[in-house]
Amino acid sequence: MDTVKELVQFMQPNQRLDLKAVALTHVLGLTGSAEGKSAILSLDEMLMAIFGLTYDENPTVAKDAVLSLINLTAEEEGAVQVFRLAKQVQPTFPIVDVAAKAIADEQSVLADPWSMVLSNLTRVESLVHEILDILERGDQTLPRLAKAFAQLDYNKKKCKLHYLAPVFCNLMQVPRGRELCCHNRYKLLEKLLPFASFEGSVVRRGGTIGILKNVCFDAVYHDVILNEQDSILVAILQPLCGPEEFSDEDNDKLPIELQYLPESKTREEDPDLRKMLLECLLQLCSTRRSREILRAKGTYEILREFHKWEAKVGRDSDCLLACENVVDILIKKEEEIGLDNYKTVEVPADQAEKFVQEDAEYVKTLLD
Amino acid sequence: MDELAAQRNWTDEERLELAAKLDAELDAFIDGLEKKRYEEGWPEDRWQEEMDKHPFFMKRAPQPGDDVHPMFEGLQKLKYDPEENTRDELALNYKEDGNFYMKHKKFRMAVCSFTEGIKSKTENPDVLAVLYNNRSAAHYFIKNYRSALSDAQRALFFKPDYTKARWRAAQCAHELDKFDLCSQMCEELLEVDVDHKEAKTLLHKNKMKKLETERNQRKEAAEAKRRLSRYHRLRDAIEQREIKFDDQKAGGKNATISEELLRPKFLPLEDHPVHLDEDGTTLVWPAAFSYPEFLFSDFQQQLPETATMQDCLATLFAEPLPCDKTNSYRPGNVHVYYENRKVGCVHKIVVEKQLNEIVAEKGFFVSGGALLFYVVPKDSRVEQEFIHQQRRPMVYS
Repeated sequence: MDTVKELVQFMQPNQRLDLKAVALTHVLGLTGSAEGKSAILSLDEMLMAIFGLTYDENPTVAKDAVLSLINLTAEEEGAVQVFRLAKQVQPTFPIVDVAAKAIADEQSVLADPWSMVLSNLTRVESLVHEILDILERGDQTLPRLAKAFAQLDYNKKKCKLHYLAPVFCNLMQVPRGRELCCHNRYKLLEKLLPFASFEGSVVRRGGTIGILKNVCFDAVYHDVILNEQDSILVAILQPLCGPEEFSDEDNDKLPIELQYLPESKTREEDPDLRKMLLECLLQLCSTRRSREILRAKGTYEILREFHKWEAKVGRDSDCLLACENVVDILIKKEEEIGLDNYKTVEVPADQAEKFVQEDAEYVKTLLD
Repeated sequence: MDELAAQRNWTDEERLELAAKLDAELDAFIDGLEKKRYEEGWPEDRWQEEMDKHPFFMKRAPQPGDDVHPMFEGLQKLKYDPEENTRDELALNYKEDGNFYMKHKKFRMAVCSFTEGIKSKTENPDVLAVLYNNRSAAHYFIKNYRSALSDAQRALFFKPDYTKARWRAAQCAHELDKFDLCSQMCEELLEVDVDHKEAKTLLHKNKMKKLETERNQRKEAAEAKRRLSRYHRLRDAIEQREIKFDDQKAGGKNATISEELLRPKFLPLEDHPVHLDEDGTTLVWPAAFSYPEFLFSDFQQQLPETATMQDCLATLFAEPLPCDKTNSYRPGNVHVYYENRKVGCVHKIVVEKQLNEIVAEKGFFVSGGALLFYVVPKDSRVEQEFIHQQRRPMVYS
């Protein structure tokens, strides 16, 4: 505790560079352990010193300061504390604004670290509303972040900005975030979607698939998803499609991006992500209209081939179950289903438990 | 005169007197001028000609080769002479010309004017930007999309926030199928004005065109793959059966079977090269049946190799041959032969045999991409003549 306190004086902006650097390196090391983190988080002056050093002219010092913040915000408690303190200090440390500015700056070397801080902060649901407030204040902020994310060579100092994917995903945990991102005027969502198949980074890909999941779980957006544009449906189906050939009639049903896929096409290799995509489809099966559209667009044909692949190559039983859940609904005729919206069905608690148990048993039998 | 000016009250008489005096003074002055004839006017008989040449009255512009009126030359010099104008003025003059031509839809002339303006070497970036932008528009209307795009981009180089030029560039990129450039231009336009309706529409249209083009390429690739695999299976089937071809060079077993080799040279069989049936197991052949007696041939476009010669004869003679006066050409009354051109002889076919068995015979060669047979009446003079006809074996180089 005392060591930490002593370090604070060496971390003031006007200190000698070597003292600042060494002190900060030590602090960064402390943030790697649970005790170190709690020691730092319990001392406001230390946090303030770190905030100050993120502005430092020396790039190493500034970077270490931001890296420290990443570790400190990694858990919910730390994130909340850092966020609150940043607001309380005099003068306020506008942590979200600073992060957004660095990300939007093509020449910033701190864009990636700041995006990770933002990703940590937005993960906390209780903070999302305030963060959205801050981001909405400038009406170009969100579009600019989307642009930085979508344009792969945006940052000229080699920052990849992959962590913007989880940022957007987290922002869409709440309805207001979803509204902002799906708003037709800026077409933010269209810019983000293609990255659901991005092979270069699992963070970027996973974050985008998380976005899809958040959108699909909100029934309000089912119409948006299933309008003529297909872009969201394509984003969900593309990672599930493989190189198998379909007949000309089957191909014509599919959305245009998925027609006549070449031999080189591969499927999503992470089973958790595959499962998320299938859960998106399951959500989309809840209303009759959506089911009819999914059938018309060849979803069953794609899942048929997917199931064969999953059984032989993917071999993840949760994915197989998730796939079968969707297929079971799609192959039924509407008269059999007789329901307009699955979500309105009430399942008594004991029945629910029984179903979960049965599923678990079944899952075990899926792979030989 | 001073006394006159000093006088304040003039009577009418005094005014009239003064007027008359001034008139007289003027007359005296004029009379005092040198008297000369007016010679500079147009000759009376050619006044219409002269009028057509005068820049103020001419009805059509002077064509190259015409004499120009000195006044016209003078005006030209005023407008276009680099010494009379600064570079900027010159450039703007040409710009005005160009715009004038644009209004009257003379796009090629407009291009020339703008080009001259650019050649004026003005250093003012705004002027250059406008010249390039306008020339880009002129090119666009005569569908020179590449030139139009290049000019629009140059305009943007001189003036990066030139929205009109950027929009023009987007349109050109769309016409040239440069999908990524088009979408980049549209995005840039929307950044400045997020409600630019045309940019939104073009962005969408461009995306659809790109997706379609890519899909068509994939479809074409898939079809090419299918064609190739079909061809490979055909080739394998032929090699498996060790079928011999007349036109094949003496490379023996290693000679490859090319598509050219399989192309039927007989005109009626042209569109029916040998192929595998839907099951992929049976070869289907084009065949020619020649009648030495009548010197013409019947053609069967698709004979499965499992058919017997008897089956073929039944089809051939289902209706009697028009030239067959003696009704000799009936199944059971004819013999069928094939020629072995390498050796220079003929072989008689056992009609109960299937085509694939016949083709497999030692002396049988596929000829001109098809099966060639000769049909003659049994035990006839025609048959004898046919058998003993002089044949020379084929010589290979």
